Amino acid sequence: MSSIKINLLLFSIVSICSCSGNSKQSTVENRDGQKLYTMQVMPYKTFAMDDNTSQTSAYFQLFTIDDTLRFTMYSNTAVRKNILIFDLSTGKVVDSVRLHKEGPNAIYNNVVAYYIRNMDSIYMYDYWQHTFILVNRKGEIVNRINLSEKFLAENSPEVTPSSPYPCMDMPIHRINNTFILQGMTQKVTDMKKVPTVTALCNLSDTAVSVRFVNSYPDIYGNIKNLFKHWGVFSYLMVSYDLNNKGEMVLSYHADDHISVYDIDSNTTRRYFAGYSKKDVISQMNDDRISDLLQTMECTQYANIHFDTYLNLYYRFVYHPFYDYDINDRDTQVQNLSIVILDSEFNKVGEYDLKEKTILGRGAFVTKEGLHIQTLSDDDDFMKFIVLKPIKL
Amino acid sequence: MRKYFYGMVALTIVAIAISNVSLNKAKNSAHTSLLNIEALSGCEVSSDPSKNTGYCVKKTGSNEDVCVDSSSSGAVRCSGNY
Repeated sequence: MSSIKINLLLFSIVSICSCSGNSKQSTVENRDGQKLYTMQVMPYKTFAMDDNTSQTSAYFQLFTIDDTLRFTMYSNTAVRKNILIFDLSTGKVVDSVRLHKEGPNAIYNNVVAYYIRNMDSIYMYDYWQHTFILVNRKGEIVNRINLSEKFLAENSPEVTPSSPYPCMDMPIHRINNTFILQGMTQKVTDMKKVPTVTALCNLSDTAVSVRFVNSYPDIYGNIKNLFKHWGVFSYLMVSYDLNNKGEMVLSYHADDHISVYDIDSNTTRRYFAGYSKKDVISQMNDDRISDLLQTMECTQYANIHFDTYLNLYYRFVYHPFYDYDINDRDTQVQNLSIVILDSEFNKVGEYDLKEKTILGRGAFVTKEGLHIQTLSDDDDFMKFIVLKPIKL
Repeated sequence: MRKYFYGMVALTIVAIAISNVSLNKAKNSAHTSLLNIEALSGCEVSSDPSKNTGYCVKKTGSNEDVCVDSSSSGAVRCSGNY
């Protein structure tokens, strides 16, 4: 009898698991979709940097300026601060807007993104003050539109306002006078209010208003525990893009489905857009080590980009990765795949990148294909992996 | 003799398990302090504590740390970006 007890003791010693909480997986059976497309790796795309420009930028976006599509980038270094405008073909700077670091036209470091309506109407966005700062081509401030009162929770009876942080996978888009600011929810203090991730800001000359829309899907669990169980940029910030029908296509990082929000009708549709293998999603334990573990060792959906040339969507998915050094950020990089959807949001392909990148948040689409930023060994260039979809 | 042997094996396994727990806790504390230092690199920290209302977090898919208005309780406090 005593030997049985000891045997039971031996078998009952188990390893300690650092991920805890609920695991949730999709019940979608056919995760493969149709296999119509894959990606072809094209030569790298580069943009030339001068001595005062860093290859890593907080924000870049494509804009049509004077009828020509340009790559634009926010450059903020110790020496100067400006918006650089590049020729997409040559990768060289063709224009710039010099911003002021001090004085009455100073643009401070809480300005993280911008929208170029035209060269004399550039909307810089200060995320900390919830303020649009309108500058002209000389970097002179011509107007400020402070929205901070609109973002106060007490001024919003039915929803918890969003907390926008525009960046490359959450760009500032505009439809007429409505600017889309995307991010995550503010902390939920009233459980009766629906948490929202999108702020639709109408900045017409006559009136300024903000409408908060898009909540979290069920996989995120109890809204009371959002910040306890999910990392900020890894899961709570919601990537999106705008398609050619004026719809927001949202990629929630914990969810293998996407949401398509029609701004005019205020309606939402949902579609499966997940990877072929089942997701590994776990809530964390509300501490910073678990945040890193959740980011690295779970499935994480990310960017979604609409290809207006081919009417396809590209959704990023990062896979669980365990062979990293907790002290070395350079090793904390997951493998990336692209899920390809057609114009009706049917899954039509999937592609696993061979190359890893720590800068995958920065991506854009041109007629040459999907461009994903990767670190360049040469500081004189900003470098992008280029993938072109091809039919199987 | 057999009981003694099994008992020693069981004690050894328990001792290894306990030492792994202590090792992980020590590793985690050292890693936490290292992450604290790294996390300040992109976030502004005010000398006036009342202004540090934000949380410094890693912006995944980039090389930045940024200050946001809400996060888990473990994040370093900050007053914006620098």
